[in-house]
Amino acid sequence: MGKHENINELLTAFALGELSQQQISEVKIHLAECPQCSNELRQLEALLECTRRIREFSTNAQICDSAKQAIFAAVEREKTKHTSGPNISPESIWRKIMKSPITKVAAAAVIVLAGFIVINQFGGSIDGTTKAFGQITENMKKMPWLHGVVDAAGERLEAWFSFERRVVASKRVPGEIRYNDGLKQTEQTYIPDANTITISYTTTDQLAEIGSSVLDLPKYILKLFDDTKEKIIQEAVKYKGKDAKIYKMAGVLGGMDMRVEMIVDADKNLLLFVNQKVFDKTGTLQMDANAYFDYPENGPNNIYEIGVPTSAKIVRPEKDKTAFGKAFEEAIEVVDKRENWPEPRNLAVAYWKARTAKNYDEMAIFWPGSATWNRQVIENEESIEYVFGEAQTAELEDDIIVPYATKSYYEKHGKYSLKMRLTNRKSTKGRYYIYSGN
Amino acid sequence: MLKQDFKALINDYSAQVLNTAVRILGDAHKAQDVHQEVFLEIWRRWNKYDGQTNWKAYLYRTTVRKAIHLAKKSRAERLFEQQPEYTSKEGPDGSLRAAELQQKLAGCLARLPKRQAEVFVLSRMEGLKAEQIAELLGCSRKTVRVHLHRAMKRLARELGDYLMK
Repeated sequence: MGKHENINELLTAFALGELSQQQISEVKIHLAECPQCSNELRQLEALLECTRRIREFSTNAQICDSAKQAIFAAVEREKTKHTSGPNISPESIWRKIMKSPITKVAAAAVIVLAGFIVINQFGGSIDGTTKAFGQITENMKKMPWLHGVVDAAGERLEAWFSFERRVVASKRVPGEIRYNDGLKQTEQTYIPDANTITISYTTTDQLAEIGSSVLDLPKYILKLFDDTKEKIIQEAVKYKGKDAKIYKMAGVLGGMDMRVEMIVDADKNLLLFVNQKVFDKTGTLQMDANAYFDYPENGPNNIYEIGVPTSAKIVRPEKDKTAFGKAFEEAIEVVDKRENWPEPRNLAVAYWKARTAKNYDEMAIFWPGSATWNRQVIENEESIEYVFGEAQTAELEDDIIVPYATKSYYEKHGKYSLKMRLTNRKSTKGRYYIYSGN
Repeated sequence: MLKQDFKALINDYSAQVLNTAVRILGDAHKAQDVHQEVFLEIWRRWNKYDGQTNWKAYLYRTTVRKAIHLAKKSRAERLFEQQPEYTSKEGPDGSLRAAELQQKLAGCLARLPKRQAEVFVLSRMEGLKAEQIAELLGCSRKTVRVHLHRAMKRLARELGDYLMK
């Protein structure tokens, strides 16, 4: 074996710090003259650094408690022989759905959608309704705000969504209040017992996640329907004095009998109400959930508007600030070095163009810090067409505002609904860059 | 065995199982699924355990095996994308980077020989010493070292440039 091979064999031990002083010296001498080994060592060290970070991850107490409860419940079911059905237990899917405030609200609509897909695939009996139903979730996404209240399993969850403003706010009773701003990429969580608002930079665009949940959950739940003898009934009803349609569906999910009633606005084809009942094999009611939906013109602008007291103490993780700040400073350097930096309005246009093209590097420069964006979510995001107004001076501070809106909103209302805020505070050349999305 | 023993087992080892699974999978929901599978399997065979089982070792090995199996399966399905719900000392881009790497790493781990993957996870992700791993897996320290070095070489090579970004 030659010297290169001998030293190469020692690289993992070198990276792990297992070598003697003499061996270390030999390796170092070889590294200075061998680019291949140097590169391999850098990869090994990067791997170790990656796993060092992973080692710091741990689940929180809430997840641990939830997992324990789930296994105790599963064991109880095993004991009572309620184990037939698909490989994925109903608890598993329910836990996933009910765990997340987002899917919890979306689930009410989505489970019904899955039912319709079942009907459609297995020779459904209601012509035209499948397509009409598929349109419901799309219609919901186009409204300025979607407000939902879900009563399930002894808990009440109230949530507000704006696909246009990319805001998700939720209030659990009893429990925490959250305000997720997809454009600012921040999430605020209010914990009532501690009276604190914890601010974090989020890598999750929850709205995009809702979109993907709405699209993906039916497929997921569809797997669990192990009985294709569902019945579906459609009737005309009045709901709060307005013409509506009620759909009643029954199916078997994971060995459990599920009954769903859904009320849809007859004119606008928007979901208004869902009731889900789940019975076990003995006919005992296991779950009775109601979800109410309405579509207000305005929604909460901040976490205080959904019940958080102004006395709450704000907690900002120091580590987050440091990492975010670092990405920010790096981006500003590029802002200052670039030739032909765009004027404010064109900058806003360029940002959205980069986002549509999924050009993450450009996005991060036009909007410093947006390297924190969740790439996976954007990867699956449908492109939205935006229109932009003329840049104007902001009322406060020396910032510039570029008004904009989705094309569909602008065509419908003839005005802009969003404001992109640009500043030049950190740029040494006075160049504007984006720092807020609304 | 008494039912209480099983409860005590869950109370004692839930955190270990969840933490190992979330480090491999980078997804708290999937980690919970692994947790459920691991303990449900134990429950179904509860009468066969003789009271001499080294639960820590058994649970490490079963968790690693099931989590890697799920990582393999998830690559094919990808039906229910969720972001990790773990706590991290890193900032947002650090967390994101780590989460991305975790997914890649889980995929590569799934392709390693089983024993190499076990040793790598226990050593680098769980931070166990070679002596502890040797005891857990019932092999020599030298074997642990060989598996670790082979796993590291292969993972570094497969993740290659991605690690260097």
